[in-house]
Amino acid sequence: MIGAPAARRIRTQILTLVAIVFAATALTFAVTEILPGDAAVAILGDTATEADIKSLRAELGLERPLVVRYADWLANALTGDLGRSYRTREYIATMIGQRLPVTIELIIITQIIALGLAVPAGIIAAYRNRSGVDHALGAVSIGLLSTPAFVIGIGLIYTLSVALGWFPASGYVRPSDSILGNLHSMFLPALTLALAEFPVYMRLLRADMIATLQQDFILVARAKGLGVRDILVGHALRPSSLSLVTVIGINLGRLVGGAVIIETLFAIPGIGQMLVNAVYQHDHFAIQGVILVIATGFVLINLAVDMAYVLLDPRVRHGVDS
Amino acid sequence: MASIAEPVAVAHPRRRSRPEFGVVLAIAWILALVVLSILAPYIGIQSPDEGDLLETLALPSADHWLGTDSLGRDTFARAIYGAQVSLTVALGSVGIGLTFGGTLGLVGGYFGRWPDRLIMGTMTVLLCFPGIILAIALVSSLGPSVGNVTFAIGVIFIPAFARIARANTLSLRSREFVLAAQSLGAKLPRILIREILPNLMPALLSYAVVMLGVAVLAEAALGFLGLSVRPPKPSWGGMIAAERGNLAEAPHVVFIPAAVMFLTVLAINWLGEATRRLFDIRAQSL
Repeated sequence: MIGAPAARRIRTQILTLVAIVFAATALTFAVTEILPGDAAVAILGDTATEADIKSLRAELGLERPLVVRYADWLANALTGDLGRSYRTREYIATMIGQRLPVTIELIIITQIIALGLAVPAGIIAAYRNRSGVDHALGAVSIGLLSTPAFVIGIGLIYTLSVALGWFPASGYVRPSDSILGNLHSMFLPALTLALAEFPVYMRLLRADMIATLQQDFILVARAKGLGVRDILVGHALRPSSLSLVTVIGINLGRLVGGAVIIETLFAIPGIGQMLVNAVYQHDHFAIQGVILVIATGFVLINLAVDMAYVLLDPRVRHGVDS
Repeated sequence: MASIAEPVAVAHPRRRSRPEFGVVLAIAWILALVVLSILAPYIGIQSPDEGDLLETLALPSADHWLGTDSLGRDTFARAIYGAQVSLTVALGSVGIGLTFGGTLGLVGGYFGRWPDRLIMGTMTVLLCFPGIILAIALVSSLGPSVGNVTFAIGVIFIPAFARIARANTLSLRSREFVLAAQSLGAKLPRILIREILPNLMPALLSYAVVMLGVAVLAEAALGFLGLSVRPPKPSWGGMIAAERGNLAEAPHVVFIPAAVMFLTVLAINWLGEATRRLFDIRAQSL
């Protein structure tokens, strides 16, 4: 059912997106290059002699020009070989393979909690526009927007784990050890990230919903005698969710950024924590690999968002420009 | 059931006679913070670096208004010196974002074609990085200092400002007053700076106010990861990270700096909302 204009749009977009991943990895390569104390120094430590460093640099191929090394890395990356960590000699692809599912799980649970809170809150705030509930939700969301995620996290640790003892303050349980234990250990970090996302989602949905509720088809639905719940959830929610869907996609980058801090705070072994450690340890290939994964993920999500538009809004499907 | 399908009353023009109480409070808090952090070395605030090891993790008292940390250092003094760092970084990074992003967006939006595609393409790539990750990479490569943190956060702000400037320039460049200036033979710099730029300022400035709050939060996140000013120099994020281990025995050493930061960002966001209402900028300009 996808019309020709939409298909052409998606085709151009795929090309743009490939270019973006390419540019993003090239840029990271250049940025990691300016990290001080190159990998050889980082591996050997401060006590290494000039000669040792020189021979290790040669062994690692660091003497070659930047462009050659990037081309080399890219060629290998295309075959799935992301190189090895300078530090642990582990394969980067294996490390990412172990850690990516943890971060994906964290992000999925976060989105479920965030939408689970924000969708009802947004609907109520729009329906009861300018009432006490609306103002209260507005105040909560401004408060949350003014708090960095790690402070929300520390607040939750203090109340839910130190004072009440309901959740572990940090640490991670593998799902293979215990599914329930895993969810239990993921709940606080996910709730922290979700509370940071909540105001963004709620405010967007509220604004779009208020606009939708003034349209004629809502009046028609009301004239047909449909109940409030039917009108809000059945008629108004879908056309009001376009901005929300876009932002969920764009927010993925923000969420991965948030995951970096929150995984560090809660000692969750995801790619965020891997990235922070790699930066601290000047582990160039690890940084490079994680950025590749994040950039690719971001780009794929954006593509998915564009396709979701087509499903949500018939005007986009038929190439009508609003 | 009131609001379904009933037109919401058009907002009445705001009476300008008396400023809102919340706005006054927000301005007062920020002014107090600015004045204290500038005057800090001259008005007898205790040293932020010297601790009294006999008085660690103390609760607020007459001697130590906000208590002391685990090394017995005065939390009030450290919060004020931390404010110096936060406010400097916030103003500097928003300045960088506004100047460079605004210029790039103006140029891209006005000229269109390949300059536009080149600039906006680069901005999209920059946006592809989670901002905090780019900031972490930049600061860890340049070394933690106020200047480098400001630069790193400023760089991640550029794309957003560029997008706003571009979107608004696009809608302005074919407006009558611009065409009039062009047909009167105005030179390019005049058109860009005297005709278009003043009309971009409301959108850019009200976004800039919001970004001040984001900058404070970003500096705190870097401080939390140990990538803002080097200890023992205080930064809000660093203070919170350093005392995290004492959460169970002495929650106030963590939550007092957190509260100072919260109130500051809240005040900034409040002013941001007020500016937005003043200029009536709609989200679509993003």
